[in-house]
Amino acid sequence: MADSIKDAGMPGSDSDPTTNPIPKFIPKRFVERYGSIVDDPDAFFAALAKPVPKSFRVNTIKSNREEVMERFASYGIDIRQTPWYDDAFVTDNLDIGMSLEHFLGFIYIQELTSMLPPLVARNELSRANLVLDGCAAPGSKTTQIAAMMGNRGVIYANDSDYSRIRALKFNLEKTGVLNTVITNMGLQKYPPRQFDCVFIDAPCSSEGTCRKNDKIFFTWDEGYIAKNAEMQKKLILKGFDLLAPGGMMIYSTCTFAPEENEAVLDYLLCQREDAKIEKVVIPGLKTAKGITSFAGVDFDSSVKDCIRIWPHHNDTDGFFLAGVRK
Amino acid sequence: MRRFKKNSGEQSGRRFRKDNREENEVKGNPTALTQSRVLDYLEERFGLDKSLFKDYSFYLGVKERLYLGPRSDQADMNGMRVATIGLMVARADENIKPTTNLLQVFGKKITKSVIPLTCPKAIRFVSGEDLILERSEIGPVIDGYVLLKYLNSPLGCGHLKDGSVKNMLPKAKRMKLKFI
Repeated sequence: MADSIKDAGMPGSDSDPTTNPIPKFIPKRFVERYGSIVDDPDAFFAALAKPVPKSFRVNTIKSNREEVMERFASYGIDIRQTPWYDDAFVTDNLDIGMSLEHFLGFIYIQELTSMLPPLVARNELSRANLVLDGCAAPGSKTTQIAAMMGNRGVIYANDSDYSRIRALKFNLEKTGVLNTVITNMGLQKYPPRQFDCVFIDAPCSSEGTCRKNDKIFFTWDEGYIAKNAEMQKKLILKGFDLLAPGGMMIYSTCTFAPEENEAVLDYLLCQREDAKIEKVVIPGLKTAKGITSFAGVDFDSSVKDCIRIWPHHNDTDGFFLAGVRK
Repeated sequence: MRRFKKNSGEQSGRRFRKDNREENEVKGNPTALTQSRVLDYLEERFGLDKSLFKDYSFYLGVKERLYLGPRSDQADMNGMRVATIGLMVARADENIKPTTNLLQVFGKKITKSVIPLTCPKAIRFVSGEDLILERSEIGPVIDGYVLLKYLNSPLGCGHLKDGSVKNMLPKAKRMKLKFI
């Protein structure tokens, strides 16, 4: 890998920018950190320079994929179903947000990786009565969870940031979701409950979204990662404590940082003896295993059952996801 | 988790006002009288059968806002700071006003007070314009709140009076359509 970095040239180096596959906006330290854990560094860094394709999900509360496919075909818009989720589509048309179907809430414009947490818990959700979405705003996952529950049972959609509650409410109403209680409180203060399913899509350093928003690197540094990790450890413990025995928690982030991913799971396993990482499989989607050591720190070997989504594998954002059974 | 960014085009692409923290708080369940008044109205005005709502509960918020949400025997909110519940379906003050979200969700079940629009008028309605309709477009619908439809798509709520429709779409929902 060292050779690979050297060959590629570093951001800000004297190498010819036209032959440098590493985008200039990527910090040198970022390249050093992840060049050693990704399978194909050149493909990875090259993927970060490309925009992420426009994607959306069919909202089955209001419509169905046959109807949506038929309607977009009538406009002459090419939409392509993903091989790993029948209700997920990508398109080259950037104006689908100006379609009648978007206005009606028949489709929900959402990043593909953001669809993964509810997708891996689909079987759990089909029989769940009580679900907690611990970091819910702006509601992409909550609306998907509601659709998978058939708009029945109860979803507690919580976000600690009041300024984001309005967006959450808007999106839930637009998609016709009825089975939610929106709460606005720090998760640590959540009263004791026993949820069948808990989602912790934790606030993170958002490195995986840099294809869409390279501004994340303006504030990126390892101190920020460490700060996030401390908060995420509190969130995952609380989320786990709110699970019913036998229940399933999905922990996810949109960052590559092992400190915010595998290390957080490792912390949970150390703190809670009844936590067990469950192997996550998404047929049709290329995934990588969780890593078991980083920067000289070893993690519990079962974190290999978490999954990492690298951008160059499926032409998506970066993502991390783990299923935890109580 | 991604932070919502205004005008990003994702999620809603809308700018949201800074909130008044009291605005969305739900007070509890409505009186039986309020609930039956709204259910009677929805049945009489829109042909919505009361049984459609039997798996859900009604909640009353500030400004007589009525919400349809999860069953109250399942939704234990003790110890929680609740911002809102389910979907706001109507304002239940002296005159009942249904919401566009209600008419969209149950649009396929609505049999009365429906006005079909032509494509150009549907585009104008979605953009937020009020409409003046021909007598033939209104048909047998009497003045009051109506569902505006384009083909089999329930667009939203309008208020019909003397041949014109006042646009009741919330401002945050209005948009310029390119594909219809």
